[in-house]
Amino acid sequence: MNATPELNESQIQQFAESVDRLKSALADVIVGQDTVISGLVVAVIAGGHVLLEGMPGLGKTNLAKALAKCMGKDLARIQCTPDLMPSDITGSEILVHSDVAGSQQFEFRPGPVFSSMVLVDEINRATPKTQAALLEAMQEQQVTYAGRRHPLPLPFWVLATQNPIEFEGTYPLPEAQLDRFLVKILVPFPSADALGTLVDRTLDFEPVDSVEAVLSPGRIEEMMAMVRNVVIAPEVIRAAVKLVLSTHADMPESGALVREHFRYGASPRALQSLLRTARVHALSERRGHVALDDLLAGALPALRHRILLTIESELGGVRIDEVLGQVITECLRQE
Amino acid sequence: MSELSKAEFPHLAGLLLRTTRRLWLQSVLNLLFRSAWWSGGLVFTAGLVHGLGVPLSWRYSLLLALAPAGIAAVVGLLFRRPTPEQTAAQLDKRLGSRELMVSALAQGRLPPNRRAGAARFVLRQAEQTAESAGGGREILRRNPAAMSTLIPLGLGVAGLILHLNVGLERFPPSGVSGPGTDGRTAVATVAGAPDAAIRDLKRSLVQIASSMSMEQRRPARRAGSLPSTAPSVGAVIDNAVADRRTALQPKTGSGRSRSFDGRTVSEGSDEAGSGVPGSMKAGETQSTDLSIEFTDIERRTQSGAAKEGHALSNTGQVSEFKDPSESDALAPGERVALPYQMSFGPALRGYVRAYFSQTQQDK
Repeated sequence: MNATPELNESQIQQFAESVDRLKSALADVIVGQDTVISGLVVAVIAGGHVLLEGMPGLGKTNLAKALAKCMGKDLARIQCTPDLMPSDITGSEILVHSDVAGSQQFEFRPGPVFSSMVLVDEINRATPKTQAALLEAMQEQQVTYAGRRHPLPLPFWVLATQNPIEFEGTYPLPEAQLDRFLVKILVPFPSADALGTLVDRTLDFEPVDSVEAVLSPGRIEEMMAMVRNVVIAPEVIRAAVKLVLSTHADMPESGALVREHFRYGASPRALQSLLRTARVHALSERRGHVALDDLLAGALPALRHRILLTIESELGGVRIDEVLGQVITECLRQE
Repeated sequence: MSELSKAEFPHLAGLLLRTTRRLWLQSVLNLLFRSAWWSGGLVFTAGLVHGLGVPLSWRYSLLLALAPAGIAAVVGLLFRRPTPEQTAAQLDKRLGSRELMVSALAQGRLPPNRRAGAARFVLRQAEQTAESAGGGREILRRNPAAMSTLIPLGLGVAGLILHLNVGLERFPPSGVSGPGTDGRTAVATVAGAPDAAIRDLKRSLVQIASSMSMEQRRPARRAGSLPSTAPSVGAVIDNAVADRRTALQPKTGSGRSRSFDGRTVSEGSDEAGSGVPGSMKAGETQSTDLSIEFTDIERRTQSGAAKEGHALSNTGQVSEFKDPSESDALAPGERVALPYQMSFGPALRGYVRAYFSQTQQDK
């Protein structure tokens, strides 16, 4: 490890204040979804892609829009449909006439993916081919078209939404693509009080339109860099490793619950996700080191989309969050 | 060692060192508490064995019981010293510092140019926490194994009770049969005669008599006053014990005698509390008196077991000895105390008690 820029108390304080400011601004737009907002902010600062899952009308799209505005980033939106083509996302080459020489040449026209933040709405409506077009962009922050690589602007986030109840005309995301998302955040139905407040705020106008950036330009990049300086003790890393291994039914770390319900466990990428979100969580709580509580806070969103239930458990109506929640609690409590 | 620089992190390094020592001590204590199960079990088992008729010295049982504790102490001291990481993790748990100490330890061990960006902040926080934590005395407060030690301790006490037979005399002996043909109850007719215990007693008596004979007769032999063919005291006692019907007849009155191989074995009463004394009376050549007395150690009465009709004692001492052939060394009637202790197991004592009960009924 090379010498890294020092992180002092005042910087940590400012980081936490920025996070609070961001959350507060989003909470003004999306009512009664504090957990969702917190998870989204953590994931974005950790530099990961987010999969938002919830019923229609819960404000997923508005949340993504508001987040981009709060951070002062441009947002591109892709509405997925079965006839959406990969080039509609990545861009394509078009034949361009040169007026001077009269020659013609192909020129790459970037698609909506060439944006800092891309909102992929109802991603499970796109065909697998189109979904796969996002793979390279999400993992390598680049698009390869006609043999040429086109780097994406950094930082680059994909915020995808999907509806859990519709199956007709949908294409569930394959595991490889799901694994690219740092977290999967479930958007619950708001409480009665939250719905009342929602009506007050959004009945006559759209609050997203009035959102202004709460972070200065380049601030989010600074925050992302600060996160990399947070200390992770070897004991915490061991706990995270143990947690990931404990989701694999064939590993000695797994318990009876996992062996009964889990078909496939979390990938090594899940370990990275766990620790990256834990770092942001620690820093936003004004700590320079990761605690086990930080792992606990981010474990469920980081793991839930990376685990497959057995057929019997799926048919039996077992919910992944219930089982995984127990596994996480038991595993981290032992530490 | 914490491997943290004391100069750089004085409070943190000091706290880690102190806590390591305390955790180490606690670990040794916990091992000792656990070994108490073995120790208590061993003492209890030895007590049971002793009670079942195989006399064991309580001192050896105690020594045996100390072995697990010794092993536990050695294992604890050699192999249970906590690592700095374990100490830091324990500190985090006890102080509620949420992995601050383990993080600080990991960073503090690195050279400054390899530390993470937030390392200085973390280390400073850890130093402050260590300073406010003081001596870390709370580390030793919890000792979950301590309370559970009461059970093996109880086992050990029970084992010692069995060994020392405190109060066990109150339990009735095994059943007895009818009187013998001589007007007294023959020992053999008392049910439950413990052959093994009787053999042990015989062996003990012979050893005592033999050593006594060697020590006290040697000068007399050299002086020519004692014929080489004279029977030794050991032989006499051996003969007496060989016939267990007589050798183990404790007195119910005083001065009862019987003959063996031309020699007299009398069963008389001496001082209460002396246990099993053996004495030779002056003026009786070619004969040896063996006095056996059982004392009611509970009552501690001068009259002893003879009048009470009880024969209870856990130790016996051949207390007096007089060899008439050594009249030049000992005055007539003079008695010499013998420095030997002999243990009576509960089976033998139960048997003797049964005998007394029976003879009391015969009267």
